Amino acid sequence: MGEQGKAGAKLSEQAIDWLVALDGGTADEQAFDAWRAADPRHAAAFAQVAATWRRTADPRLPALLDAPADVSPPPGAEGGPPAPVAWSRRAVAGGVLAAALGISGAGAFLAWPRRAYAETAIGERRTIRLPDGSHATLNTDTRVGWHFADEHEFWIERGEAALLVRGAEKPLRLYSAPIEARLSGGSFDVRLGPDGGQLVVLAGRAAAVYRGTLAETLRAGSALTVSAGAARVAAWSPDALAAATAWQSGRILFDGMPLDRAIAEFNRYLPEKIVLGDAGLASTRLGGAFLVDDPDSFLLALHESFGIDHRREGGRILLFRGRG
Amino acid sequence: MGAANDMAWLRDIDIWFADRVFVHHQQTHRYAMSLVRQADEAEELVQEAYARLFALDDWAGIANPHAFTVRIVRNLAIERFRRAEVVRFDRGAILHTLEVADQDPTPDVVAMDRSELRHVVSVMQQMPPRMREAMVLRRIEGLPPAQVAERMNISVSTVETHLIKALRLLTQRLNRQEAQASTEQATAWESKERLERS
Repeated sequence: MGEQGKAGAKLSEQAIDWLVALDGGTADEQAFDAWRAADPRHAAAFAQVAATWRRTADPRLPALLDAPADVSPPPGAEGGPPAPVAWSRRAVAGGVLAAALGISGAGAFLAWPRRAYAETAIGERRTIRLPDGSHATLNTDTRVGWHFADEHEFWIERGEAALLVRGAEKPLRLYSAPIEARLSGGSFDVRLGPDGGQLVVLAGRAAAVYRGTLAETLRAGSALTVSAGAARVAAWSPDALAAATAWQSGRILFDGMPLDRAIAEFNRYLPEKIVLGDAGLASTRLGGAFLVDDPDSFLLALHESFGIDHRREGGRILLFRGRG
Repeated sequence: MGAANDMAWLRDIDIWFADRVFVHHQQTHRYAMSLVRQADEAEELVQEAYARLFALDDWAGIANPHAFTVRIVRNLAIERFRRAEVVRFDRGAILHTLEVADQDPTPDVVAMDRSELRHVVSVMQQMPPRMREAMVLRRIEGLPPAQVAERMNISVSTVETHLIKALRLLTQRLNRQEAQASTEQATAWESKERLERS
């Protein structure tokens, strides 16, 4: 057993040598790739060392390093008590944080690990409890971050999240690339798309900001939509609100939506994407409710109602007009 | 040299591993401890489980990576048990502790918790001054190694040596702390069991 333990320590030392060489730009990267690929134990050892390495850049470290050591060195420790360092590490820390803020415009993110984050894979749905008791439910392929300190901050990087905000003490500050908002207690849905996003207020209020200017205070039943650089606030019908939140119960609602958009909606949940094989089909309008994790019944409905057939090809599902 | 470029050798799986698996290392190690009751054996199980993760193609699809890892540890322990390499555990313990591990929600909180952070701080405070200086300049001030060398008036390869030693120290100390914590826990667990059996 001890032999294996020693082998483990050796691997860890090798991984450290590689990491520092890579960090310094002196490593033979091909040789490194070969070493890492040679054995999953190498890859695992390297990842652990890299995780420890990342910890040493934690922005909270500098302030703590300034404080006196709170443990005495264990026997055999190299060196004595820490000598004072000539420059102020607090100032250094300030510089690091300022740099991080400098590169982060609206919707960008502070560097790990100041915030916590969670994400879902394609087709996954998950609810996260935030530190103040608020909840965030993440839809498919979503990544969010949060940091609750003086301000309650929440970032959405991609995908869609339903927010149940307690808002008892302070508002929740929502950041995303297209939209920023201050949310009161209530229920919200924020969704990012390829060229914009939307914030739907189901209950409560949101002071929404788009591109740095205060857009409007949104009330329950209204939404801010940012699309291709234009922002619009509108009151939504109960049906539209129901469609926007159907995913929370694993459903997807189509209310006369053209087929190309309906497919885009469904594809968010599918690792294997549906593709139109015939552009003429795009304007077919369809309605109905489907389960996000059951594309087959959607495909069956297309066949039965519209005579649209499909075949699986190269990791995709190709739709085409059926014969007869 | 951009920050992203600096870490090009860090793959998605490494970040996933750090944020979703390795953050729970202590818990996983403790769980392994509850099965085999010996720190180095427990660490072997955990390391073997980690290696299995890195042999997966579909790691990104794992819904709860921590629970998944714990399950691998359990299966590895059962394999060992069947091969009778390890005689000092009983099946009841496995099933019991697995239940606990499954019920225990694992929040996706990445930020290092304070005690871990404090430990990193204390190891850094105990480093010899030059080693610590190299670490602070490189990791906290974020200077490229060449500039660290210039500031410290040493060669780049000496900077690397300092960083290597610093990282070894961190890795050893962090592991040792875990081993100590789990030994204490296992001892308490064993004595409790003895009391119950007597």
